[in-house]
Formats: sequence, C-alpha cells, structure tokens
Amino acid sequence: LRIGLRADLRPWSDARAMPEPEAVETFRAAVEALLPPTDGAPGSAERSAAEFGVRQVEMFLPGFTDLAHALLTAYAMGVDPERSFAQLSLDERRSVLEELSRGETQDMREILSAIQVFALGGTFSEALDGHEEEWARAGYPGPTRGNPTYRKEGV
Amino acid sequence: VTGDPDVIVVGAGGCGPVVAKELAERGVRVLMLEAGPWLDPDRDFSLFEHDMQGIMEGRWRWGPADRTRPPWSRVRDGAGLLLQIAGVGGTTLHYNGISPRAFVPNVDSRWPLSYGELVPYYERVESFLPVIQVRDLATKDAMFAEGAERIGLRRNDSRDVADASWKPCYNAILPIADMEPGGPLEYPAIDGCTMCGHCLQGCPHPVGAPLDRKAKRATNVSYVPRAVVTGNCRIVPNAFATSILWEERPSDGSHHARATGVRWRDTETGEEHEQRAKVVVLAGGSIESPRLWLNSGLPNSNDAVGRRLTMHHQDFVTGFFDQEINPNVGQVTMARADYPGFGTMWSQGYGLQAFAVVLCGLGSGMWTDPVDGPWDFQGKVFGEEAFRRVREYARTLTVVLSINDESDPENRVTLATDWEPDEHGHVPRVTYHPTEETQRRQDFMAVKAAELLRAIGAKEVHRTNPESAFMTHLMGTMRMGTDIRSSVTDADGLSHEVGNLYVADTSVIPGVGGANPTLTGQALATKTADAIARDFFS
Repeated sequence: LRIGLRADLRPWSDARAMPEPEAVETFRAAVEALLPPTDGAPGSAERSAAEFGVRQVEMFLPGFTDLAHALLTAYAMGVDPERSFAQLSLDERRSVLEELSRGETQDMREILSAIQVFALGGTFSEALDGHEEEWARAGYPGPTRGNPTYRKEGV
Repeated sequence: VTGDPDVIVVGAGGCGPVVAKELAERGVRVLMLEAGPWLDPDRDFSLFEHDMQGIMEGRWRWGPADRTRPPWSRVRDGAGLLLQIAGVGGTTLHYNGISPRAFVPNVDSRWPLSYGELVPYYERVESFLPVIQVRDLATKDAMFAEGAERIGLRRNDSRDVADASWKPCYNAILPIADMEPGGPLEYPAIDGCTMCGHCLQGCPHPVGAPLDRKAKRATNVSYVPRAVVTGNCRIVPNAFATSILWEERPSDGSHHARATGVRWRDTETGEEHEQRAKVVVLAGGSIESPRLWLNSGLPNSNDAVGRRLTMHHQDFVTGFFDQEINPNVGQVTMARADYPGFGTMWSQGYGLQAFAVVLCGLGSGMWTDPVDGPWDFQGKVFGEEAFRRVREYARTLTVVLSINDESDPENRVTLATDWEPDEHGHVPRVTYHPTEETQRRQDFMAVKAAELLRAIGAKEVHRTNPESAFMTHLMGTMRMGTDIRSSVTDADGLSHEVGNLYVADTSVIPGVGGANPTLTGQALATKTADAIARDFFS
C-alpha cells in the first residue's frame, strides 16, 4: 500500500487555468443570441446560463472557452472588422452561429453544439434560479412522488 | 467478510453484481470493486435532472464522488456524449428499466451459443429482478401503441422477437401501485411503481420502501443487496481498478497466462491497494474493460481487445400535438416497437432539460434547412423559436430510436498514448463513426417514427439526427466467439488467453439485439457465474 500523487485530488477550478475574461464575454454574447428574452420572460444569459455553461464546458474540454472565443472572433471579422463578436447585433451573432453550424469539420460544428447544449441544460434544469417559472411556462411540474392519474381519459 | 477473496469482480454496474450474487450465494467469497460512490436512494436521489445526470457534475457522471473535482476524461473521435456512470448500480441507476431479450435471429446467426441456450439464463434474471410486462399505459405510451397499430405493426406479447412488432414493455419495474388521487404515495400505504416519470434520474420510490420494494430494479436495489446479505460479498466503492496483476504460464490449450489479482486506487485518498484472488472478472463496461486490459499489458495476440465497438446508435423524433400528453408522467418507457435488423423505437418520457437539449441542441443542421424525410424540421433551433418550442413540452411525444449498429473493426477503444495519462493510467480513446449501413437503418427507423406520430395526429414532426454519435448501450469490445482469432472470450466469458480471467458485461455481446442490452448482459453474467462456480469452486 502506498500513497499516490495528490495533484488529481484538487477541485477542478484550482487544477486548471480559467478562461480569459474576454472569452467569457464572447460566450455570454453567444448565449444572449441563442436563447434571448422571449414573450416577456427572461433570456438564458440573464439567468446566468453563460457562467453555468463556461463552468460545464471547461470541465468537458479545458480550454474550450478560449478556443470558441478565437473562432467566433475570426468569424465576426467577416461581418465587420471593426467590431468584436460581442459588439455585433443579436441577429448578426445568430447569422455567425448559424454559419458555424454549417462548418466544414465536426469539431467546428460541435463548438456551437456545446454552447447551445450547456446553455439549454442550465436554462431548463434546476441548476439556475428562475427555473420554476420556466417549468411552469412549459407545464413541467418537476419531480413528484407519483402520478395517480397517469392516463388521460379516452386515450 | 474476512480473509482473501476467491473472486474479484471489477465493476458494480449492470452485470458485475449478477456474478457477485450468484457466486456469493454458493459460498464463494467475492470482493467487488466500484470506481464510483455507493449512494442511498432515499437520501441521495433528488430526481433533479442536473443534480443527478449532469454529465460534468451530476451524481452519476463518470468521475469521482467528490463533485468539486473534474470528471474523468476520455479522448473522443467521432463520439459525442459517452454514457458511463460511476457508482454502485452503474448505468442501471439511470436506465429506464426496459429489459428485452436480444432478437432471436441476431443471436442465432452470430453468437457462439444459440438463442435456446440463452433462454434459461434470461428466465433466471427475469424471475429474480423481476421483469414484468406492464399492464397499463400512460398517455404517451397509449398514443405510441395506437400509432404502432395504425402503421400496421402487430402486437406481439412474447418475450421472443423475430419479426417487426410492438408491445407493452417488459420492464424491470414492479407493477404499478394501486394509487388514489390525493391519497398517500409512501410505502407501505402503497407498494409498486408510482408512475413518477423520472426513472432516468434514479428510483427512490415509493418513498420509505425497503430496497427490495423500490420500484425500478436497478442492481443497487436488487443484485447488490442480495449479494451482500450472504455475508460472502464485500463491496468497495470509490475504488478504481488500475491494473490486473498476471503472470505467464506454461500453455494450457490456448491459455498461456493467469491473473493473480487486482491493483486499485482509492479515488478519495489516492491510496493504492492490491489484492490477490483465484479468479478475476472484468465488469467495467465496453470502454473501461478493454482500457484496463490494455493498461495491464495483458495478452492480446489477435488484436481483438477493444475492437468492434457497437451500440444502439440513437436518434429522436418528436411530434407536436394539440392535446396534453405530459411526457413527465408514467414509467419513462412503457411501449416499444421492434424491427429486427434495423432497431427498436419507443415512447420516451423525460424532464424538461433533456427535452430542450434533444429538441434544440443535439441535432445536425438547422430547423430552417430543407428536410429529406417526412418531418417538418431537423436539427438545432435557437432564438425566440427555441423558447417557444420548449414551452410546448406538455403537448409533445418523443420517440427514441435505438438503431442496430453495424459492427466495424475500426470503431474501437484504444489507449490514448499520445495524451497525458490520468491517475488511472492511459485514458481511453473512443473512436466511432457510423457505417453507411447503420445510417441507412437510422433513416429507415426515423421514417417509421415520423409515420407513427403522423398517424396519431401530430401537427408537426421534428427529427434530431444528432450531430455526433450519442453513445449509449455500448457493446462488443470484448466480444465472445468460437473463433479465437477474432474474439476475446468464449461463450462463458472466459478469456481465450488468460485461464482464470472472465469478462461479464455488455462488452462480450457480439451482435446487437433489441435495445437495451442490460438484460442480455445480465443473462450472460449469470452463465459466467455458473461457469466459474463449476470450473473453480465445485
């Protein structure tokens, strides 16, 4: 019996370099465009889905946020060399993200997928404040102990 | 349990506990190692989607119990989400309890044993868990059943499936409890499934029930406690096996090596341990079993270890309706349709998070793109439309497709020797690209699902068509076979090369049957336990 290396026992946020602030801002700008305020209800970014998404995605692929920032910055240059991705309008950002969804390689397409999947994951789960209101809008009551009336009449 | 164990089982997921229980009941002393924690359903199963199944920090992620630490990494090539769960119960913690037998023609054409030889083992597992055909359906499943009839599928209530048909599911879930609206939902006032709709987040129901009366019969409430009560089985959670200890032996038939024990690492303290045993059983699943084999330097003279990773390639087809369906109600899946040669599809219940991800985030292409099948849109959507569509949740029915993947030797698990190893050795590289035949089967099943949804009045239909492979029901990387040049084990799960090293998980399944593969893995594990008892401890 011997004691192994301890480096891997640290919390993830201590063990890894965090993304640059501009990269987090770009991620947030993407979430603002992907899941904006709709029909009077707050959008995902207002409910901290971007910060949630960065945390998740950095666990999934360390360095992802900086990579996505570099890629979206390059794409934004094609729209307007004077403005960063975060300075584009929501519609302009969406057109950039849609272009990314048609990227040539699976790796490029997955960058959009990852931002969207983790933003959705926060927005519609219990992880973020405001979820109860969002669940009510969708008719999802959340976990229950049981459903005695499980079948609609006539079905 | 005192003294050295007779047998070490690596992995307390869907199949390892079957071997442990079957041997412990015969008086064989078993040590079962599990990489993840041993959770208490009543205390730990919140049923919240992110808390339980968040792939990065959920209780069931593939990672250490301490959720402030990162999950364990894998290198992926073509693979998207890889569904592995660390914890006593493994992926049965998450599964929907569906417990079908493999398709008859699939077994009879490619396996080293006949379907008839497998049936007695199926029956033992079905009797023990138990596996029961549901006697009523929730709204989503009744609608699915109606759709199946309308597209011409006949109902076949047999457990043996050789032709296209539909059926109310055989699930490893206790019968639906006798409940009254507004009445109690706790044990012992009620006993059985409460139709809470959250099988995928674990099953603590009925609240207050002892483990043997928890509704969903995951191994943590079935095989594991039955193994422990014998007094012959010790389970060590948070114990990640890093090496099989072994030695060369004079050739005994094809066997020219012998396992002597297992080295593992405590994931909480970093301490390393070694234990010797007469027999070792690998039950870590289709990624970790080959990874451990290769990291141990075990013989692999035919280069078959890790080859032919197969799965149920998944897709999702969702119908939008006028009426309320409430996909959060009922056992998650209560009706299914099988197309041997192509795959299986079923009605899917889930929470709002999974629904939103499937509908808006996982797909390839955009909703605004032209479509190439009987659906209205495909792939991803964002903007206000995404919120509006997710808010239609209560009026949707999603059909999950589990495609019978075509086996390809290039789809495989190898060691990522070009990456930094983690604390458990070289990390696995998972390479998966669906073959053209797999994609053809996927398209066939997607058309059937869309037709089914249209037949029951769906206003609009969406197909997800995932951007990258959604890796569930992993199989085949330690396949059994009679030809020692192309397989890893024999029909008992015994390695062709190492005379006392067995594999007992779904990685031995050499050809894909109906989804999911858990019952088949458990039946084969029962057979493996019989063989170990016969050949080593009779």
